[in-house]
Amino acid sequence: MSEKDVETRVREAFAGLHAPEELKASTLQTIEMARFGTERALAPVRRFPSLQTRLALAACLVFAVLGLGAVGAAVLLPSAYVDIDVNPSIELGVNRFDRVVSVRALNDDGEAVLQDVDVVWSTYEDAVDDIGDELASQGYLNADAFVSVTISCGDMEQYQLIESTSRRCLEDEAGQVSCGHASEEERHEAHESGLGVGKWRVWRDLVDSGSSLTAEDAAEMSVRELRDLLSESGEKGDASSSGRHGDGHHHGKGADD
Amino acid sequence: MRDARDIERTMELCADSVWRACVLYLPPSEAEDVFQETFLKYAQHDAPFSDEGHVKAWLLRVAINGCKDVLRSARRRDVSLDERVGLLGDREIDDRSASEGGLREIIDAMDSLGDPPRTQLYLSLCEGYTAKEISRMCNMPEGTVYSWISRGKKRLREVLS
Repeated sequence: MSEKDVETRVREAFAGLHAPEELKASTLQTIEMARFGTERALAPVRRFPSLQTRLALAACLVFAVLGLGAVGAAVLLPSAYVDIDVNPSIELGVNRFDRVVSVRALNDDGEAVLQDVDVVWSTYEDAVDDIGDELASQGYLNADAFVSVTISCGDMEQYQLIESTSRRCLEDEAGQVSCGHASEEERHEAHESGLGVGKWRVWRDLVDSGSSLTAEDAAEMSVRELRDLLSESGEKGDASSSGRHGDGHHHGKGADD
Repeated sequence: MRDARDIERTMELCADSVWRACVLYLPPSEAEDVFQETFLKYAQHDAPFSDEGHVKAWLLRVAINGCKDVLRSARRRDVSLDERVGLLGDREIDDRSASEGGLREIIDAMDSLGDPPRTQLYLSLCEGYTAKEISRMCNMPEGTVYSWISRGKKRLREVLS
């Protein structure tokens, strides 16, 4: 066997080995839990007997730091993710008990909004009220504004609660509010593009209709501006009309809904 | 702490490389722990990286060091090959490109080389790093890296023949 053959065998043997998807997902979850707690609390992470045990222990550590006791990971981990797009794009993680357990900005405008509101551990309703107030005070919510709320959630009851709460909290100040469901894949793909799901859907419709608008450009534009562009290109901008949008339920009080 | 999108992107780009490096040294249950710790350290590492290559090299260095720390503990020094490879299910191994037997034999052979040259050889053959890059990653003179890789290839050929 030549040296070349040996090299090829080694390369091929390892090339067939891929990181398990479950491990990647649980690692991302562990990191988000560390982000939610304090980094100091989780810094000296040592090995645990198993991944499941480790996750449970990490959850307990965070709770101990917060003085809430070891209630369980279900309280810490979001069971639903909500993307709110106006121009600021913000993602909220909501747990099974209707509490916001994670929040992050998806663009610079979202960052600016979140600098002035602290919604972690608020009820979803309080969180959306606070964010709505901040959006209004920064001039993003007005009669012309279009707000897109997309919910990634496997529990229909929770989905309906989030949808109705979102509409109730935002419709008074925004011109139009559209709520819909997003799959995990869509959410992942949208965030990979640097966009909230609502914006991403309109941007994809624009691209499909021949626009050369980049995701970076779309990130700087409001949902209203993107939808206007889409209307100009002859496409119907209502996200619920596209097959790509899955089983979304879209409601809005605007004329085109 | 790093932005979640940054971490997800890095996970997509580098997870396979980090996982392979972990499995080279440890049985899957412990490789999983080192894999998680490696990405957790990345999430907590706020200093900027120059490019994606820099990120990957950093992750591999952290993962390999983490594996060596585990191996240094006496109770794990004699992990059997069966435990290391036998627990790898179909999920981890793509049958199209590598049989379990093939991987078992390769890991066994690389195990027998000792370290060095196992790390240097792995980084060169499987990750495609140059001797200069490996020298920086392993904190070892470039000439010494060349020498270990050359010696390692020769010994690997003898073991696999």
